[in-house]
Amino acid sequence: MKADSDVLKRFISELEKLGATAELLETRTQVVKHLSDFVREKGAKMVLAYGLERMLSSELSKAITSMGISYFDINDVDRRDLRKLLERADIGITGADLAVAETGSLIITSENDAARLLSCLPPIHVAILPRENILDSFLDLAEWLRKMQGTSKRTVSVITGPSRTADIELEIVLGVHGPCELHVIILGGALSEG
Amino acid sequence: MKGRNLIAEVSEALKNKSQIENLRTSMLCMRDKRDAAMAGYSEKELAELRNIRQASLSSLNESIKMLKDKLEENGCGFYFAKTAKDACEYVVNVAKTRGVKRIVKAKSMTTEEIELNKRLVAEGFEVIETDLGEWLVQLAGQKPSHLTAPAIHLSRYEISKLIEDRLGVRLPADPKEVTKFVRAFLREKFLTADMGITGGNFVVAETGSLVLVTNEGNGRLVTALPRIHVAIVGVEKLVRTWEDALKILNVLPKSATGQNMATYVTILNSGSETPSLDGGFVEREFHLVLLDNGRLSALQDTVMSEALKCIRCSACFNVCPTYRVLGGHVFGYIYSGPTGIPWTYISHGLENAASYAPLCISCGLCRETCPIGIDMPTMISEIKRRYGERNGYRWVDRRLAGYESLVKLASNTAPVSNFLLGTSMAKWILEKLIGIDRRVNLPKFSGKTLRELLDGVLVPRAESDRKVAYFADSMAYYIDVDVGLATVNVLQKNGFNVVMPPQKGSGMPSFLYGLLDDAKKLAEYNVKQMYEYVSKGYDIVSAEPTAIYCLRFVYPKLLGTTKEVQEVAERSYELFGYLLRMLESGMLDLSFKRYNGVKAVYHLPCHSRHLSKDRPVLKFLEMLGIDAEFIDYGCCGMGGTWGMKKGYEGYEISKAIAEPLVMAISKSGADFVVTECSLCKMQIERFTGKKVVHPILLLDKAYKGLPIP
Repeated sequence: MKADSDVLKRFISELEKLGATAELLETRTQVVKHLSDFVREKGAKMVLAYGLERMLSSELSKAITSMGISYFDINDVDRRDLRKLLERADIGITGADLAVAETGSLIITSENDAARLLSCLPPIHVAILPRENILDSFLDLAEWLRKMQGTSKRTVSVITGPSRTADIELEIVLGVHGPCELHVIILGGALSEG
Repeated sequence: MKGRNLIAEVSEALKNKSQIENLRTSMLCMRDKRDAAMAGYSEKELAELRNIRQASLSSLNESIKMLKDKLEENGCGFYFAKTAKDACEYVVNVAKTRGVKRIVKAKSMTTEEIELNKRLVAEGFEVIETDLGEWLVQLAGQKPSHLTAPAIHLSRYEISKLIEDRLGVRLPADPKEVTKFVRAFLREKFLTADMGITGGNFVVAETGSLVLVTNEGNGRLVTALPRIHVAIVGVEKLVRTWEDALKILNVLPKSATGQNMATYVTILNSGSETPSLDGGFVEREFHLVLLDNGRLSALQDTVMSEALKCIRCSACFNVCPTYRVLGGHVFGYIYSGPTGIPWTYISHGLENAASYAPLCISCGLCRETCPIGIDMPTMISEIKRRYGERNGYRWVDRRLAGYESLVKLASNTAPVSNFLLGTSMAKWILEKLIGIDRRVNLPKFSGKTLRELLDGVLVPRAESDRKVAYFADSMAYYIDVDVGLATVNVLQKNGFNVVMPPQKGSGMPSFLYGLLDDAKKLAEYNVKQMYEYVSKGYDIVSAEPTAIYCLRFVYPKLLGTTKEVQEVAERSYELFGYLLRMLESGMLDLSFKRYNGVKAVYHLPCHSRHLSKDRPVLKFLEMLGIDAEFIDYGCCGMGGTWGMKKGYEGYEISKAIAEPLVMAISKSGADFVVTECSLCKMQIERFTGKKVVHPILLLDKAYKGLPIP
């Protein structure tokens, strides 16, 4: 599995170059612990999630609401409230379908724009990605995109780091219209030695 | 030229010192970041990109049909707009019939091209640009001055003043603070907009997908919040497959901003459901307007079709010497920068393209840096030709293009002509009669031509099979004859049989000013003479990089790729690249003197950049023991004869371009400057006062064991 860990290392290093963070976690309990600490540290008042595994979402909900912070899974809220919640959320947590190591990119598909807006509107975006879904190179996406765009109407978002601009005197500023911070949680398996 | 006074615009722009400083620093920074990001691309991979662009254009008709079917199958609106007016009409109609009030836009040069905002505002819609740079430009009532950095001409101070003047909000001159303010200011607009308008970086025909690349995230909000999304995309952006799309997408951010990948790539093939303001979801309408506006007829134009391969990365802006001092408002119409000249021709016509084409000095750096290898100089010269044929060429351009007969005359009468040309009366006459700036010091003519001086020197050596046909070009032939003598001597020292076939000047000035028929005649003559020797196994060598640039790249464009032209091109070598090859194959005589402790600055001529990636002169300077500092600001601004043109037509711009190079050389403490181009030499000597030498003079002295100046 050496190649695998090289890909993982590359992905993490590219993410960090972009000003994003990566956390490698093994178990659901670790993820819940990590995220509830994170949410508290950030002083968030409302967290919105979409596309997480059922069990994970319900455990997260328990842990986060127990601290007096609101937590909603988009699937569970009244559709009429969605827009308001999206506008107000401090942190958006989403799943990620794939990632590309050489560019540090996340690939997230969404069945509707509530899901897509979750990684656009809140100032902080957390993405949860299974380790085995990291591809080596950007060009590896061709077949997958052909299938995805050929058979469904899901919008595909490729996200590479936090929102940024260099429009004023080329000075890089993070967090223009999209999230100011991007955190990636990679599930399953630690870096092997060497 | 359609009411444009280019000279007045140039003189105004050159007064704006802070803009020049900003542009200069920014463009250099972008160039260096871009070069670093592109370093991993091999020649083979770049050739593949070029092939993809070519193949995409060749299959355009099929792709259009495929796209239309896919989009209609997905329930989207599809409209093929023949003209800018048609495209605007369609958008206005969609907006009107759906009760739209507020429109948010993501950055799109295609909507600038069709002047959509003007039309929408006239119809009473509120139109808000959301890309930070575009928003600033809109607030200032200006046009974008750069493809990927639209507000690069504004400083942070000007920006905070602009926001205060227009919105009454006082902000510190700090990009972070401005960005924070704009985030909040525009967020509300996004949330309440009825319609989003975007361009598109590609459209993938096989799945009917729009691909939108942004960094700020405004493209995502524009396509995810409003209930209607209209994308306006030039028809040349169609690619066939995802394999093709990804290869281009992979190179785009690297070449554009030096990013490995852009922050956001949005890929969609229909409108999706969006949470609406009043609760629940609405199904978004998605319309794709495919814009022709001159593109399809350009596709039939053997010269201009090349421009359609452009992926709009803007790398050519960063290296363009005149753009770097004048900015995109002067060096542009609506499209700006080098690629903007043929693009203006395609979408806004010959007159508008020709209105700023004279600012191109044919250094060719745009072509050299373009990831697709688009030949902008040839298209720009062709635009100058088409304009000149219709409206007449400028007097000064004709004179400078036909310089060779004047040079011949001056050379024949050398001591007298040198004396006369040095007088202020003669300089005044040259300025009035020809248009050469009176501040230009013309070079001293040699009393004897190089051919006369080489009489008896070019004797064949029966024992050698190393054969070189030397192409001198005018400067070494009439003026810098010592360069010609040294070249022959060094080649002979290395056992070469050197011949000098009959030849004329390379024709670069004619090419530069669009006198392509004259350039063609020179090219035909030179190819015919050179081929005589190439067919007998000779290599062609010149110490003048521009000459080889012409033989290799310009002549095949002017004459077409016949067997003779092709073989001459393939066998033409710039002197130091040629010597380096010999060195690497162990064939170079290394018995030359070393000059340890000597300090020099090296300036790389633009045309050399095309000929070899190895920077052979630097390697030789190192071998000679010379401590050479490589100062790389790109083009020195001379552009052959262009920098001699009077005032704001040439000289003043040329001087502004040279400024940072001149300053760096003056500060360097070097004993002299080395460069292999005779016109760069003139430029650097006139503005630094330092001695500039061709490297072959150093090598020749080193073989002879003589001291150097």
